[in-house]
Amino acid sequence: MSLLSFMKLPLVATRLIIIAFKLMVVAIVVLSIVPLLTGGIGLDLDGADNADMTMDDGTIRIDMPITVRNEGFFDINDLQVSFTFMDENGTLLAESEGEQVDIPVGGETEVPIALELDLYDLDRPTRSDLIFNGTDLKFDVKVSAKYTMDLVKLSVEAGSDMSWGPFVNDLQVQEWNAQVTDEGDEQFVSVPFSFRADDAFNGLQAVTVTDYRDGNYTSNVTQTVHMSSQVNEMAKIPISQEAYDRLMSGTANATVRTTLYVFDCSTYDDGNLNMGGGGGGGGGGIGQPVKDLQPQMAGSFLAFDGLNYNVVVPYSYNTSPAYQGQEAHMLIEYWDDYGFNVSIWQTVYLWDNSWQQVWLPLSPEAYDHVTNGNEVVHVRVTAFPWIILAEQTYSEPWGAGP
Amino acid sequence: MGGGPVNIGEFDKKYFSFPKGAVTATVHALKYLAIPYVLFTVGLIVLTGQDGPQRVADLLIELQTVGLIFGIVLTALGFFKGAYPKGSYSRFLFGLTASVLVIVYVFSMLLQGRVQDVIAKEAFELDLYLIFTLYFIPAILAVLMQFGEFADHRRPFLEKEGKLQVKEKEDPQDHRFYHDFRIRYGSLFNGLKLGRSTLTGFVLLPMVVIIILKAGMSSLDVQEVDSALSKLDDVSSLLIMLGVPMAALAFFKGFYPKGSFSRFLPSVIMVLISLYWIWTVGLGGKFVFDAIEDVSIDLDFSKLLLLLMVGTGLWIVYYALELLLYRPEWKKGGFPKDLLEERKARKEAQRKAKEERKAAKEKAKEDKKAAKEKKKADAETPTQDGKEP
Repeated sequence: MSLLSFMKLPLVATRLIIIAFKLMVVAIVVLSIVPLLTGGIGLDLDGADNADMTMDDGTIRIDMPITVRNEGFFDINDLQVSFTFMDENGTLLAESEGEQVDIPVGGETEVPIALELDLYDLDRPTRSDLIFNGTDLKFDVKVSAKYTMDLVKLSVEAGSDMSWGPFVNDLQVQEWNAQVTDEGDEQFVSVPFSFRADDAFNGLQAVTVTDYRDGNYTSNVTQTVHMSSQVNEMAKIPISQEAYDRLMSGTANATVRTTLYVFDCSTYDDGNLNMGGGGGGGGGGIGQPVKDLQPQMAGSFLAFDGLNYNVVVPYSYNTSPAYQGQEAHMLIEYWDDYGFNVSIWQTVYLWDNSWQQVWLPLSPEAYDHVTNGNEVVHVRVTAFPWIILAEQTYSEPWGAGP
Repeated sequence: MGGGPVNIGEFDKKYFSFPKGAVTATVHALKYLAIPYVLFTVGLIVLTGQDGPQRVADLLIELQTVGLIFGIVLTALGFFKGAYPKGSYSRFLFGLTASVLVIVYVFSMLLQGRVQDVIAKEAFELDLYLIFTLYFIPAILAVLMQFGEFADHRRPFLEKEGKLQVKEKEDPQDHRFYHDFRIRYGSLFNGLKLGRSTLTGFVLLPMVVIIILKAGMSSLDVQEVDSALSKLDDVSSLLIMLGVPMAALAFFKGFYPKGSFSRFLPSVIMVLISLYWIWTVGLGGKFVFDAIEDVSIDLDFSKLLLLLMVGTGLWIVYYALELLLYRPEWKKGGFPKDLLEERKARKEAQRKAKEERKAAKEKAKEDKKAAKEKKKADAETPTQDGKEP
């Protein structure tokens, strides 16, 4: 080798190093992209369908494990899923940062995605809204990961709305079902109340305070209740003899209010206590809101409009003065001895001497039965939320229909 | 020198080299005849196999004919160009004719706008005339390269023919480093060639890609691509702003010979600009895509880009080494132009000198050996009185 050629070796070496560098970068890029194009890297979102919501120490946690398949050439490092919650104005409410997970090459790795919302991170009105009314929270989900020997960092951010709650709802003071009792030296008014709680709140404790107010007279009882999907409790409020007497004589202007406290937030429901003026003795009911509920089968008839078969059933009821003008939900059920049944909900306003009618759709077979012979049919009307019902078995005379 | 403005004598067959002509003709045949013809044929076969549109097939057949006609003519011109020596009028004329004909060839392939119409009907509106305009710039440089080659090789040709006195070598003692920038050291052909390839690689090809991308994206008629189109416009401006100075610097890099400061300086500036080019065209290693509502994708590949830049930055080391290693050779050669023929001649001279040195060395060795043997033989031959000499 001549001296000149030998001297130029560093040039050749530098050129080779440059080529090696370029080849390396090209190889890295190609090896990174190929698995993405050929499906070597993928997600299995089956776990997300079985998301599990739990509540722990004021933090709502939703776990949705996903499986990441990495059959590429490089590990995926520091995969992290984070959530940011905002109110409707975009104000930051809470942040939830997931764990960083490494996905090694050559298999599947389960990535625990935990969406955590600490209720105490939220201000009280938002928290209260979330627990008792349910709300839509804006949230940003950010997925970040490093790939290709940490040379490439990918971050995907997506924003969306998510409906939360209500976790505790339908608090109802059932004042119409209140009972007044005289236990010798002590008098009580017992007011049932109920509410429902989400499964995530099952077993958690809540506090209820039920206040009795009659003019200037007040009394209350505090209870600790365990939440479940349907909570039915009775607030037994001690009252004075005078208050008891006013209540029983129908001269009281009494109200009861049950306040439910959950995570430093509260909601309430109240109602007026109306004594029928009677009672006496061991105590008395405070009257039904819906009275004389009755299916009026004598006025019933069949109707066929060329397309649908119906039976039209009227029903009637009276209303206690305290409930007049209020809304009620009526469930009207109809069935025959051939196994056909149908039910329909109707929302009505409560007034005295009310008369309503409902069109119940019949199947062609059910229509044939009542059209071709005298059959026995059954009708039941139930008034909600008080569950006051009236049922009637009726030997229909409809014969050949119109 | 010669006998008029165009020396007809240089078309003489004494200058004609059949093998050299055959080599250039083969290159031309591949470039202008075989490859286009094969591509159009493959296109036709694919189209027939997939029951493609007839108008595209008709177009390909026409292009095949154009390729065949021009290819044959260019092959013939290539043969004559290659057969004559560099620096001769004969080679210059054939080379110039061929390079101009290539422009006509490419323009003919547009088939008076019919190729554009068919692409518009089958895919999307693509401005082929704009692409041709871009192609025209390197094509003109290719024409100028013929002038460059003639200018570079004219003197060596005439010197070789004995029509011009051989220039004396420069005395290295009188040479200062800033003398490296003298125009007489430069090769126009090399400068134009490198300038042309840099312009093509850094400006024209990326611009063509951008034109095609823009045409494709515009045809989607989706509002989300508006921001991407505007980004492409920005990239186009940047390509021109950085690519044109790079091409100018590349001219000087190619123009001046290896081992000169006049080559080293533009080379280093070019590397620095190309580092900036990589960083800017690589969007600073950050790609943000937020065209989809409520979804934003942020890709940070800055480390990968830095790796690429380190690799590119190594060229500075390369050019520094090149300056250091080639300078003594260039100086020793009397600061010649960096011409391929001269380089070959120098190498040949070096090879011959080496062989001569080797032969002289071997001869000396043999002489020494022979002398030794003679001495030994003399010593072994007994004297007449039987005594050692």
